[in-house]
Order: sequence, then C-alpha cells, then structure tokens
Amino acid sequence: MNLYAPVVLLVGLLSVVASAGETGQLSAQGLYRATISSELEPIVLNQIHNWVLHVATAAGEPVAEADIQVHGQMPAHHHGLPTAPQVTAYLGDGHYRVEGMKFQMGGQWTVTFVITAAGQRDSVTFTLDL
Amino acid sequence: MRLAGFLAAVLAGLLVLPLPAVEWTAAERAVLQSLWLGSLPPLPPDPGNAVADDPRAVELGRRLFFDPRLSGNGSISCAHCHRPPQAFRDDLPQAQAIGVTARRTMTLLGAAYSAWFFWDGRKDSLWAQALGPLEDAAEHGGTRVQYVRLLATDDTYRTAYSDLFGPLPTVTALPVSAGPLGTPAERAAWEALTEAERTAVNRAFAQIGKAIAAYERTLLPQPAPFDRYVQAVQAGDAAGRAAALSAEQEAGLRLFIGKAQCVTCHNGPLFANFEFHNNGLAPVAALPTDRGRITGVQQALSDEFNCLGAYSDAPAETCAELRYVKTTGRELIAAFKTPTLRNIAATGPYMHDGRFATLDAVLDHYNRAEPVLIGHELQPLGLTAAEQAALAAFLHSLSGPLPD
Repeated sequence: MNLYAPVVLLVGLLSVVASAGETGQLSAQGLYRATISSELEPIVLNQIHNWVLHVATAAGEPVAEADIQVHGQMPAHHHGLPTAPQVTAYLGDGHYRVEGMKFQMGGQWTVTFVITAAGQRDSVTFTLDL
Repeated sequence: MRLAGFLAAVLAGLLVLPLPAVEWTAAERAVLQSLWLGSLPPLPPDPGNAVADDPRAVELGRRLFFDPRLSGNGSISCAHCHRPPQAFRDDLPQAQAIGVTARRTMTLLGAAYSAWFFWDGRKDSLWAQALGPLEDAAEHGGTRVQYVRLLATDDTYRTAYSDLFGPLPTVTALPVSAGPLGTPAERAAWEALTEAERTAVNRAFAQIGKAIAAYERTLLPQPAPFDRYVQAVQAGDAAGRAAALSAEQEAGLRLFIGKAQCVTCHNGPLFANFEFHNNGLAPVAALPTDRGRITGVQQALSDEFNCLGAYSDAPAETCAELRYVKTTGRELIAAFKTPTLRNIAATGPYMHDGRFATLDAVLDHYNRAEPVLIGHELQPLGLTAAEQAALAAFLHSLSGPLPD
C-alpha cells in the first residue's frame, strides 16, 4: 500500500451544492437565480480552488456584466474564509469564474454573493456543510 | 437479598472486565480516515522553487541547514533551534539564538504542506521562510552578502550551487557583510552597491533558501500509534486497536473529534489546517504586543521574496494563496497559525509564545475559553478533569519516529 496515496480527506459534502447545481437558488429579493459549481469536486478542506457561479434572472435569462462580491462565513465561529475570493472573469452565458475559494474548517459555512446588474442589487446565500 | 447479591456479582464482574471497545459510526470512521497519515496527499508542488524536488538541492540544503557558518557569529545553524531529535523545534518558550525572539520555534515536520510560514504567516513559501531567520538580528544575525560570499569561497558549496543554479555572482568586489536588514553599517554598505549587484546577491540568496527548502520538504512525520489504530479500526482488528491505543487514549480520540472540537482546526493527516485563528490568548506583560496575522499578512504581501516577486520561479497564476489572501477583518487580529499536532507531546512548551509548559495547561485553556478583551473564536468545552486527561493521553499517540 502506498502510504502517501492521495485520499479524499472529507467526502461529506455539499448535497446543498449538488441540489443548487440542479435547480439554482433564488436571491433574497427574488431578482436572481444563482447556481454554483466547484472545480474541486468534492470540496476538501485547506485547498484553494475555483468555483463557477451562474447568474440568471428569476425568469431564467442569463445575467451578464454583473458586479459580484463574495463573502464566506462560518456562523458558529464568528469568522470567514481564510481567503478573499474574487470574481475574476465573465465566462459568457451568465457564468462567472470565482477564484480563491478555500475552507479551513469542517462545519457549516455560508457563502454569499452580492450581485449587482443594471443597477439592481440583491444577494444570494448558499449553505454548505463541510 | 439474592438479587442484590447477583447485582453485586455482576458489578464486580464489570469492574474486572476490560473496557468495551469504542464503536465508531461510519461518519466517525471517515473522520479517522481523514486524520490517518496514509491519507496525506503527495507533497504539494512549490512552483516558486524550481529545485524543490531536486535531490542535489536536498543535499545542498541539508549541508546549509546544519552549517553554523550561516550566521553573524559563526555559531548558529538552522538546526540550532530546529533540532532534529526534538521534532525539529526546541524546548524553549521563545527561540534563543544570537538573541531571544518573541515566539516559539515551530516544527519543520510536514511544514511543506502549509501555504504560510511563521506563526503569523509573514512568508508564503518554505524557501522564503528560510531566508527570514538568516538575517534576523536575534536569530542567525548575518547578511545576504555574507552568505553569498560564504558559498563563493567554499569549494563544496560553490560547486553544488553552480551545478544547480549556474555560477554565483562575483563576490571579490563586495563588502564582507551587507544587507538591507543588518546593522546601520551593513545597511549602508548594501545601499552603496549597484542595483545590478544587489539583484545578483538577492538572486543567489533566494537560491540558498530554495536549497534549504528542498531539504526541509523531506522532513515528514512518520506513522504513529494513532495511525496503526486507524488501520486496525478499518480492518476490524480488535487486538490491533488495543495494541495501538489504550482505552483512555481511545476515549481521548473520541473527545478530539467530538465534544472537544479539536478537529475543527487540527484537521487532516497533519492535524492542522495551517490557517490563522484567534485562540483567546491574552497579552503577556513580559512580551511585546503580538498582533499576529493582521501584521504578518501585510509583511507577506510586501516581501520581495514572495510568490509574485522577482526571485520566485512561479508563474503568477500559480500564486493563488497570495493573490486571494484575506487582508482585513477582526478575526486576523491576534490570530496565529494552527500548528501540526504530529509529535506534539515530546516537546513543550506550547502556543506561539510558549506560554504553557504542558499539554494539560493547553487543554485547560481551551476548556475554559475565558474571555479576552478583543474576543476570540473559542467556546467553553465543559470537559471534566478525566476527559482532559484522556485528551492529553491521546495526544501522546501522535508521535512517530523522527526523520534524520
């Protein structure tokens, strides 16, 4: 047996992400429907990685040219992500690259995207259990 | 009466029976597996260090690591504080070399898995870290010009260096000692060099760090009783479990991943997330105020030897940790890096300033989680004295053989 064989550290993830990936999640005021997918699948702790965020209107039309801020929080521990993720590119068809995602602790996390497009600002929060 | 006698006999029987083995749920076994050393992934690449995995660099780095000539007074090597028999740290509250630092020496075991170095993460690579103490007046107390001159005038070093990196810069015209962090005279001598001379010295100095880092990447923890325990659990081997951990240690492990929540930060096969946490340590009057990560992150960003700097071998897009690092927020104030718990028991004292002499004192701190002025992340754990003792016993199961 290779002692250092790569093994996925924590596998219990993201049923929420999975379901969000299928249906998306409506923003707080109902302006946008957002969907997230991680380029690191499953998400493991302590590894920096990228996400892709898809933003559509409530009616399902892709939203381009949005200004998007990312905030991660661990409610039980009064702190956030160890990184400051940023949306670095618009990939077309409502998709945005989010770089710098990293989770350093197991437990419940919230990741909030504050989305502003055409002067319309709303936020959407995903809950993850890592 | 007969019933009472029967119950007494049963109780007496229970007292002499061995403790029942702790049963682990599937979710708990997954956590145990995540902590098992066998789950350690391959060494992460260090794109900033082109020789990180070159055996010639490992050998040069090993030689440099143990060479006391890499110091201002000729008596301090890296191994002065990072002592191999003490898990590559020392046993002092604050490191002592030429002077006394403000913080505890960190172990090098598994250090290559961290994204950040020092307790405050003021360096973003192992090679950049290695350069810091070399020029710190309280540690090695030398200068980069002095070190480059040493390599240029030592046949073994000169040959090994040029094999790896090409020729060293010409040092005959350089002062004996000069550097931007030295004494006023050494700083003045540094300023008097041409920009081309400074750049050449900086490049060679960075290569010294890269060779030392190549050696340090080989310093990995070895399997400990805990790892044998996990293998026995996964194999359903009751005798193997009992041979690896005592019943008290087993109970401590259950607390570690449960009630005591240690695993929240001390996660993964190195029992560390290597990130920064305010763990509620009130300032100590005898030491300068230590703001931890909030200061360290700014130092990392402005470090000429960071991942994005001129002496890094890394393409900028591989420097994600530095590019997306968090720089603001209360949680960075007085936050310090989670250290590995591998081989933790053998060598106290503990915490970033070595304030606790024993693991019991550390556990007592986390159990109480007393408030401090600026707040902290902790919550009282409500552990009994027996539970604290079990946790301490468990921590002794994380010590494996040490690398040379």
